Amino acid sequence: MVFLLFLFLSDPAPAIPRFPITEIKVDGARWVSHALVISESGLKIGESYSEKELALARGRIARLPFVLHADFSLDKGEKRGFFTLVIHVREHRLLFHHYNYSFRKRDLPNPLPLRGPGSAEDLSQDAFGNWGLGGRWFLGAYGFAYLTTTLEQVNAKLDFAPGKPVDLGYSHYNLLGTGLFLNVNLQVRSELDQMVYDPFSTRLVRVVEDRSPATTLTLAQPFSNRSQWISLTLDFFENELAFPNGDDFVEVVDEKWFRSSLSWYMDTTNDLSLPTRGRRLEAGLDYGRVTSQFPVQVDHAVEYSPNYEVFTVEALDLRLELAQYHPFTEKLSVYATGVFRTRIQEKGTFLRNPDQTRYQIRSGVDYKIWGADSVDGELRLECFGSHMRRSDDFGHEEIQTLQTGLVFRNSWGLVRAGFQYQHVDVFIGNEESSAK
Amino acid sequence: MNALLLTFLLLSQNPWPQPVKATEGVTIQLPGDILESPKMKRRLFSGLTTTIELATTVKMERGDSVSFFCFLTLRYDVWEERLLVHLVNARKELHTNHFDGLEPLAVWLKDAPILIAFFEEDPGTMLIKTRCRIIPFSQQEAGQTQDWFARKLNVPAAGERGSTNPSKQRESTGETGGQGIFEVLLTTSINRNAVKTYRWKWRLPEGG
Repeated sequence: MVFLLFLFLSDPAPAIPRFPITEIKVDGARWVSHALVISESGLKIGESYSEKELALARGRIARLPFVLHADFSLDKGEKRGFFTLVIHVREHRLLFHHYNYSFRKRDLPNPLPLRGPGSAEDLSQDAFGNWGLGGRWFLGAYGFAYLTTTLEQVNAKLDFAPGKPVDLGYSHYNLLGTGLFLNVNLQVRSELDQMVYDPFSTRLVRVVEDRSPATTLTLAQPFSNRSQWISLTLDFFENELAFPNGDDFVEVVDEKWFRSSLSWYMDTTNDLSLPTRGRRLEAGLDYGRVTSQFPVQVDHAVEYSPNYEVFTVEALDLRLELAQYHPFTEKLSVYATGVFRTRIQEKGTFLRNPDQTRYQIRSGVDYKIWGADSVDGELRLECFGSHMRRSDDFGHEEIQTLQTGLVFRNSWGLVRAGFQYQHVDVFIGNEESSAK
Repeated sequence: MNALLLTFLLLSQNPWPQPVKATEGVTIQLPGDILESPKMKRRLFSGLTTTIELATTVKMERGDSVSFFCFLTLRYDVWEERLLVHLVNARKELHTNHFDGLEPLAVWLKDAPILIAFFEEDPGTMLIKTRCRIIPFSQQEAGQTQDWFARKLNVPAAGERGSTNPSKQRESTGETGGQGIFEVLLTTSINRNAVKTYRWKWRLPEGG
C-alpha cells in the first residue's frame, strides 16, 4: 500500500478539460507533409480544444484518402498549462489497389427485355469483379498526383475494363491557404466497341465510341469547422460515335458532353471506406448537356455540310443521399443508406442517362472477424439487403439484392469477395416482365 | 525495476474478478490486466480520457432483475504527471483520485472495491452479469456525459449522497427498469466503439 495514493476527495465534480495548443506535431507521416495533415485537421495553434473537438479533428484526418489510421496525444507545451498536440498517422502505401468480386445468382425476366445500354449483357454475368490499381506521389506541401486504371473480371477472365481507362490526376489541399480543395482529373480511354440499346428502335445497336480525354475539375470548400462542404464538379469531353452496321439512321455522331454537379455534404463517419459509425449526408444538383452533330443520311448518300443536324439535350437532376452507421459493439455495426434522385428538368431525351427517377435503400450489418484495426489488417463479414427502383420514359426496373461477403483491408488496399442474389423485375410501358 | 514490478502486479491480477457481497451491496475489484496491453498504456498516457464502463444486471431468485451502471474515467495530466481517475459507483457517488503512475493505479484497481450493485435488503441468491467496456473516451462524442459531469458540479455533494428523495430511490433501485436518466445518458454517450469488452457472470448465494 506504500505505492497507493488513495485519495478520496469530497465529491468534487471533474471540470470539463480544454487543452490550449501551442504547437502541433505530426508523427508517423512518411510521405504526406506535416503541413497537409495539420491543415486538414482544422486545428489552429493558439486555440483551446475540448476532447470532443479533438475527436472530430481526428475523424477529419482519418477520412483523408491517404490516411489509414489517426490518433492524438498531448505533450507539455511551451509553458505550464499549455500543450503540444501530437498527431499520429499511419498512411496507405503509395501503390494501392481495390478489388471487388461477386458470384451472382439472378432471377431475371424470361425473356429478358432489352433495356438500357448494355443491361442484357451486364445482367447475364454469373460472376463479376473489378480491380482498381493505382499509385500516388506527393508533390509539394499540399498536393499529390495519382495514376489509376481498372481491370475487369467477367467469370474467370481478367482484362482491362472496356476502353482500358487510365486516370491521371492531381489533388491540392488548402489552396492559397483558404482550405479550398482542388482536383483535376484526366481520363484517357481507347476506342470502345459495344452494343447499345436504342429505345426508339427497341434493338441493340453496335456503336464504336472514340472519346477524347475527359477532363474533370472539382472544387470543394469546407465550412462549419470542416464538418460540411460545398463542392462544384465540372466535367467535359468529346465523343465520336460510329455505327458500322450501315443500316442505321446515321453513320457518325459527334457529341460534346458537359456535366456539372453542385453539392452540399457533411460527413462525421469514422472511416472513408469501411465506416462503422457516423453519418453522411449529401444533396446536390446535377446538370448534363450533350450537343450532337451528325450528317443526315439520305438514300444512303451521305451529304455533308450544310446538311448537318445539330441538337442539344439537357437534363437537371436533384440528388439526395443519406447514410447512417451505428456500432452495437466493438465488432458489430449496422447501417442504413438511402439514395434518391429525380429529374426536375429535361430538354430532349437524355438517351445515355435516361433515368427520370431512381431510389435505392440499403440496410446491412458489418462484423469484424479478425484484426485489431486497419493498421495491421482486418477481416470483416458484410451482409446487406437493398431495393432499387429506376424509371425513365420507357418503363421502369425494380431490383432486390441480398449480398454477403468478406472484406479484407490493410495498408495496400481492400479486397472484397462475396455472393450476391438479385431478383429483377422489368416493366416496359405498362407491361411487366418479371422473374416470378 | 518499476516495469518489472508493474508487470508482476498486472500479471498477478485475476482476469475474472470475484464479487464480494457486503452490507452496502456488491463490490468487485477490477483486474489490473485490463490495462496491460501496450496499446492501452499508450492510450492511458495520451493525455486524453479513457473510460471503463461497468454495466451490471442482477437477476434475483424471485425472478426480477435490476440494472446498475458505474464507470471510471482515466486521464493522464501531462503537466502534473499523474493519472486523474474519476469513479462513479452504482450509487452514483463520484470519487476523484490521482496516481503517480500505473503502479499505484494497478494496486488500487486490485485493492479498491467498486460498488457495482446495491440493495435495500438482502435479495437472496443472485445471478450477476457485468459487462466491462474500455472506451477511448477522447474519440467519442462525449458531450452528453460531460454535460452530466457538468451538472454534477452544480449539485451539492450532500444532495447526491444518501438522498432520501423517493423519486431518486426508485430510480436507483431499478424500479423504473434501470437507473433512469443516468442510464440513458451513459448508453447514448459512451455506448460506442469500445476497444475491449469483458463479460463476467457470477452466482452469489443468499447471505454470502
